Amino acid sequence: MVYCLATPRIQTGFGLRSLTGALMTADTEALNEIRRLDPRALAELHDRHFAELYRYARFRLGDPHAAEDITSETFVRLLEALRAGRGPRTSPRGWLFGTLRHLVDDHFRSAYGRPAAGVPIESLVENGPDHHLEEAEQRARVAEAMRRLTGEQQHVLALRFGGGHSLEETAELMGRNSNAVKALQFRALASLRRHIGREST
Amino acid sequence: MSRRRDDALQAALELLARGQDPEAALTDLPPGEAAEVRALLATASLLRREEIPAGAPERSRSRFLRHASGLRAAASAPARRLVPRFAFATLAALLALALGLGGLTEATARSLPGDPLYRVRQAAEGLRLRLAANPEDRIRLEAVYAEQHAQNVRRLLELGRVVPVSFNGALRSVGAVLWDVEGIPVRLTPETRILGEILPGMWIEVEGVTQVDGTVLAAEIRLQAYDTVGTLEAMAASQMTVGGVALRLTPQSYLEPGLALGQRVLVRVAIDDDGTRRVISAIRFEPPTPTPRPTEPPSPTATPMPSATEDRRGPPAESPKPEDEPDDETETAEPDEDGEDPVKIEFEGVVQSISGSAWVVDGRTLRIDGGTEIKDNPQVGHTVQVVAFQQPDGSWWAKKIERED
Repeated sequence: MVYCLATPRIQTGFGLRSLTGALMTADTEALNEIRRLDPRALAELHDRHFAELYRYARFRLGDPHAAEDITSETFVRLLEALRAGRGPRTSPRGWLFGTLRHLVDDHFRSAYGRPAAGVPIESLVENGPDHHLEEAEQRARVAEAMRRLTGEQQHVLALRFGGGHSLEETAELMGRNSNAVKALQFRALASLRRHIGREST
Repeated sequence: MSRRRDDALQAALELLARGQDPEAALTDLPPGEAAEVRALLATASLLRREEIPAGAPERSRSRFLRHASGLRAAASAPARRLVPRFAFATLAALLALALGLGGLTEATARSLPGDPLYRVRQAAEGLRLRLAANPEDRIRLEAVYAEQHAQNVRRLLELGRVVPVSFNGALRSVGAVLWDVEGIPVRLTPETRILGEILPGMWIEVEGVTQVDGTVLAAEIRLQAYDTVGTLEAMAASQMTVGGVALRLTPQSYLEPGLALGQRVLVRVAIDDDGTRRVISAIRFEPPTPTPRPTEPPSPTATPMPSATEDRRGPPAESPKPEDEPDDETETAEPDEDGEDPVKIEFEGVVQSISGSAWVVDGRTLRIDGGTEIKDNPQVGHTVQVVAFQQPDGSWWAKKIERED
């Protein structure tokens, strides 16, 4: 069987710790300036995290416009939290991911009960003629199956495969240990497979 | 057994990521489990990592920095500027106004379009804009009010009220009948008047009526302004050229001091009635440096936001977190203005609603954000245990919500 895995970034022990540590240190050192709403520090923070937050939102939502809106809203929520005297104490990254997850969950809750718009077909074929209708249909099936997973299952797949985070990073962002994430990953993929099968029939 | 499968799947994913044969990770599994893991690898191969659309980071950064600019202005303008600038008579007038409206301040601030007090709020906003000490402060105040007006409309839509509204904001996306303006769905009809050549990303003003279906029915949509980023190519007294486009300068145009030719600039451009592009503001827009700068000491005029070293009064100590939970997302409720510890409540109740990052539990509205720990996926109707802290504005921020049943 041939597999084509789009994701992965594999980090091993020391390398991962160095990268994660560097991100945390950078965030922590910039936090005082962020609290003072220093434009340069805010721009640095935004640009450092926008891509990974957007990919997470896009993976879960499917819709590029909604993903952009909600990612952008996440950063605005950070400002509002800081104004209210809350917000992250040492590293904004986990806070941003936590808030983004809540916003995505809210988006699904608020959409529940409304006529399902589904994933816009233009977003599925937006990359041009190389993407055939068959592939677009398959992506639509995957997106629909994703929506049937639990929030926790969507969360782990979005971090691992949408964001390309390593197992260890995912564990850190989810506040769980690696073994728990491995088990959740297995269950999420198994559930996704079942739902894709149902979508196909 | 399940642990062995979990490990094998993870090991196979890692091998795949390195371009190696994942079968090496499956050799110790019984045939049935190996087949199951292969099936999941096939499923994983359907999952894609998406590219980021061109312009998305810039749009988001622009909104983020604009919002921050508004907050800075709101936090610092009254304290720093008003006293030395205005004559005694003006201060007296302001004092009289403040005393006259003293009992209404809270209600006025919360009033929405259609409420009797909203006109007072509009008058107060107009007064603050007129008293802005300089064009920079005025622009920032306008940004604050624009954000507040959009928030008002969102609130009206949540409440299901039908009220005439006017608001402005960035046009995020355009559909056949629904436009997304600052996250607000705006419905167009054949009768809707559209003034200007409007494209996504531009700043527009919407006049319409909120509807019970959660949309704003637009009567008129006008192009107000747009943001553009480009290289500053030429600058004269009455005109600047950015990215090949000539833009008119007026005495009201705000130019960040020190702008120089060749710099990347973020320009907010207004469209005048005659179609002229006029500069509202232009600021430097340099890409952030990849490495963090050393922390500078706070400046005397810095916005009085809490610093990490000031986070000395958090919530009362609770039981230690499990080792596998990072503690860098721990939130601290700030002390009240008088230095008192924030009020903490713990209670058990039934979740009545979950929406818009605000939950209602036993009639109490709780704000949640990334610092809120939510355990066991509670839904409406579930009984939960809540730990919350009162914020300076009187609202309750939930630190922890855990499902009980």
